Amino acid sequence: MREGAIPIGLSYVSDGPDEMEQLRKSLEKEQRRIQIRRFTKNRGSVFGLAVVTVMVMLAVLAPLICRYDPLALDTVNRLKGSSAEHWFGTDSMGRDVFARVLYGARISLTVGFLVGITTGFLGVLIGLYATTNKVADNILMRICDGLKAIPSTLLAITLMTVLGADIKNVIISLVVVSVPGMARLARGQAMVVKEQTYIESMKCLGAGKTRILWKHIAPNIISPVIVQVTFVFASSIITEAALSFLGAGVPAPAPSWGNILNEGKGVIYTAWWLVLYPGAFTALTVLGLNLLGDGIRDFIDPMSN
Amino acid sequence: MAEKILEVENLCTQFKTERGLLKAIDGVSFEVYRGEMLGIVGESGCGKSVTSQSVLRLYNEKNLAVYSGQVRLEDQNLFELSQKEMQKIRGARISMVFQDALSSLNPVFTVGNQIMEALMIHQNISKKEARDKAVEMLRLVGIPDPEGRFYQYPFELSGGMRQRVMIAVALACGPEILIADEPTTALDVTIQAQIMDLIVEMNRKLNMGVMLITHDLAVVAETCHRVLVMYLGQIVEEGLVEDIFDRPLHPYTKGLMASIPRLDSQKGEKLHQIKGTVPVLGKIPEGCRFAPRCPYAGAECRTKTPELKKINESQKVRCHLADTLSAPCA
Repeated sequence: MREGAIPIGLSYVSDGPDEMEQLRKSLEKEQRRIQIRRFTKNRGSVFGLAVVTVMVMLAVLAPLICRYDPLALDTVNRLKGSSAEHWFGTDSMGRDVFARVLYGARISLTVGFLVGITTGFLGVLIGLYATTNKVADNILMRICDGLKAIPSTLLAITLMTVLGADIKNVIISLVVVSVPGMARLARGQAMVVKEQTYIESMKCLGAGKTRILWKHIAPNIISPVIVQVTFVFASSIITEAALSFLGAGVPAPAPSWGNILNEGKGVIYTAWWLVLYPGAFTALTVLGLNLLGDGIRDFIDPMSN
Repeated sequence: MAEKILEVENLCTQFKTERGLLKAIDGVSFEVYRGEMLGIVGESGCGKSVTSQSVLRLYNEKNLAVYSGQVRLEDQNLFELSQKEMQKIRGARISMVFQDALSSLNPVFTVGNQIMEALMIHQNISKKEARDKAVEMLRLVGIPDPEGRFYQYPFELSGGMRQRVMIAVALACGPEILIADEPTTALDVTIQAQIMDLIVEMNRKLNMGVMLITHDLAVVAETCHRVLVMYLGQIVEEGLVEDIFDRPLHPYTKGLMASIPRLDSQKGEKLHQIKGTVPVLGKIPEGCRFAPRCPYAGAECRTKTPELKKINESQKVRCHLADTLSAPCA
């Protein structure tokens, strides 16, 4: 402690800038530690984070891990069970299921991720815009209600039929399916924030409507949106798998989890591994994402439970 | 007398409600001079806040409020400006400080950022300059270690500190008029005194007009030069602080003065109260608006609306009986 510093409780006030700096740094460190502890205390969210990380790693490193091309045919070794050569066995055309599942992870995760991000972005855009203008609000929200009224898988299938089977179209139709929920959420949150005194005090400072909307309201609604994005991510993976399973998703021969399941369903009694592995990967990833989403929500808002 | 900066003339603010238009402010006229502190006092619901918010045209004109009259800021009638032009006035020439500083500061930005924001809305300056100015503002309002506080979020500061930050935000662009809407209501007494001292100090240093809206008469007595007493959307008495406190003329003002607890009162003695409550806006009494609660009200009071009459050089009062009642206060 420097001379002239006055002890106050555990900390002390001093005129030295370095000491204040140090004090602040240690406070920040402490705060970060508390936040990390809050996250790690919830076993589920740690598990979720681990699962998602492993899945992403597997997907990214797929070309390094797999010895086989997911598309390479090997008609001699059809429907073989697990072996040292083919860990997850082979499918009805002799393709390595392990390679297909990992490459499938690339497609499924990419679709889920892109859908989550795009939905978040569009949802915030629409939701915030709706709060500015009553007419726009009515029109946009009625469209959202209409879209929400149709079961999401059914709507996605219809859109895919219209647009044609293509990975890009899968993303588009899944975004269309999930944007209404996000827009509603963003709108609701923005309505609450809009009534806060700090928005009025921004008005008093002479900030324009656009500035208030994007610079002051938007950052205040971002945390529930992030949580919702992880849930959209998870549900998109399921819906994408469902679409592909029904043949309305990612077109063959590209592997996606739903595709592999679809190919496996015909031979489920003889080659159960064709259904088991992609199914397990899908279930695990979705579970992981949901747990992670819950964890993020608790992390952001400890009052929610 | 000093230069007039703000002149409000016959201001009426009406709100559109389901029951039709309600007149919240009815013909309020007053001026604010450079460097003065003007107190606006009155009970809850008397239109103090509505007056100040009308000056800044904060109510939504499309579906909430109808303004009439004039608010002149150096010969410019604010009611004739477009919303865009109004935005250039708010925060730059007329600023406002609210009651609850925590809810008036955006929780996701650091306090420094919020001062920078005020500067960058109105002045064409670089981020670095804005940052330096913001730190300077924090120092000006008496925040210790301004460089460090710059990076703190509103929730990390105490109530008094937050109110200081609010004042720094409001004063960042060097306004000519500061409207302080019950700036100390949410604070404890010692901090209240500090914040009032700060407002008085800023008032002197920056030579701006301050409109202090409060129901705390002690604060007014200590800090203000002139006082407006409002009742039910009208000014009932106006005068220098000495006039109002030593020689209140309107029965309502007398009631307010008598309601201040005194040190020499007996233990167990009941505090004075003005009987009855402020009537709702839809049911404004005929004649003098205070008549139903006034102990002196006569027949004339219940039928004829009194005008705001000039009694002497500095004092105006809205009462038929002002001349007869100018005897020392009860």
